[in-house]
Amino acid sequence: MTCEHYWQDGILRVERGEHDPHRATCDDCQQAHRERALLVRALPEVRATSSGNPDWQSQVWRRIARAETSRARRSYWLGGALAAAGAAAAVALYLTRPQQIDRTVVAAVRVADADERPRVDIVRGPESARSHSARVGDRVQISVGAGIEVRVYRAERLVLRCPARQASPGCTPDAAGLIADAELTTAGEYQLVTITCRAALAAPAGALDPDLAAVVDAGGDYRLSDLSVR
Amino acid sequence: MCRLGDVARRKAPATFDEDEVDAALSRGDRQHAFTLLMTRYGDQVYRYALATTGDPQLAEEVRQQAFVEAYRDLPGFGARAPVRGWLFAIVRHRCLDASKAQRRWGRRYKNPLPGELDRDAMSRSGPMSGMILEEAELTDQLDRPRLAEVLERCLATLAPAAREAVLLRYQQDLSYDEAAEVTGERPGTLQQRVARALPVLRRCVQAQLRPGGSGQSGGQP
Repeated sequence: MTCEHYWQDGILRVERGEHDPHRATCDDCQQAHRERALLVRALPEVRATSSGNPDWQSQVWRRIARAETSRARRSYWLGGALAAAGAAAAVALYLTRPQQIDRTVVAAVRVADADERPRVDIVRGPESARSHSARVGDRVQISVGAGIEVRVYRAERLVLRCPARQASPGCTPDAAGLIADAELTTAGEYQLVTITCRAALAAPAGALDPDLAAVVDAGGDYRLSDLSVR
Repeated sequence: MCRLGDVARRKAPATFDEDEVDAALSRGDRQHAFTLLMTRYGDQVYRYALATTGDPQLAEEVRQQAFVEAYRDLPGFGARAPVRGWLFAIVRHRCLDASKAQRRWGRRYKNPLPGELDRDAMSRSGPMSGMILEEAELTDQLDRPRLAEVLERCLATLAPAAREAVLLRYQQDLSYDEAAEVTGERPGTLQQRVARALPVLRRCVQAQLRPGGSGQSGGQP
């Protein structure tokens, strides 16, 4: 018959830092106390050599960069949304004025000031004069200043890349910088990215997250905007 | 403060000075303060998350999410509390979220989660008080890595609240007051949880260490 005092009561006294007079006179309890000490000493050794992904700190910094960009993006789009709302109200007043005009002439909705860059324009197909959200068949035009690269992703896969000052299909350099133009062929989420980077950027892999991580790694900065297409 | 006089205390590495974090924050150098935190506590956070979730990928995710959150909240931290307790409070919440997600996933797809098979086997074996154990004495002569390995499996058999209390107190070496800050529980509650959990761990370890032992012990305190 062994003494169970330690495991039933004495151990709580130990955890509380209280003195247990019984233990001093009980061999079983002293042995139990040694076993407890052994367990407690072994607990910090559980997985003591495990440290996970060796690159985890870099991944944390990338996540932070993304989170901060996302916050900046929300502020950016809040301003954009206010401008768009103003523009929408102006267009609505214009369209509903007594002297009606041909609605199909309303071909583009400016989301920001016409001279401001970067700027995103949704260019309408002829049948969507009233709606101010992007729809399949519309085009998105992203106008940026000199030295800025534009990328358009759909569902986080690259569909258009316009390196700064380079002409290619969908990419038109102009006096102020560059205009990227992509047709919104499919409903879903598009990601519009503008990139500023002093160093030359390697060709993107084509997936949003790794591409943005590569931009950050190269010392660049990016701005990401979401566009929902119905 | 409930310090144990008769148990060897583990000392935190002396290379880290929380004042350095405070100084960096007061200079507005959040990045430096944060780098110090990652360097000092990154591995500890990972090991805690791993022991809590039992899943290396999930533990890594918890670590990264927790540090991103810590970076966001660092300017408002203001050294009101020990930074380790503040950080582990974040980590604990991320672990709880991860465990909930893990359970939802398990219910939906019926795939056993890491450690679940062991837990199931142990729960079928009934309460530990009914077990007849051929007790293997725990002595200092035990192979320490083997003991740590067995202990890890046994930790997975504890109820989450008990496991959390044991890990914070004895893996992370927080005092009961600090652990109470992290969990929002009273120190006395945590002491009772640990006092109930340690005998369960001991029996589980004994069962696993006996010749042919396969963990047929346990139960949730």
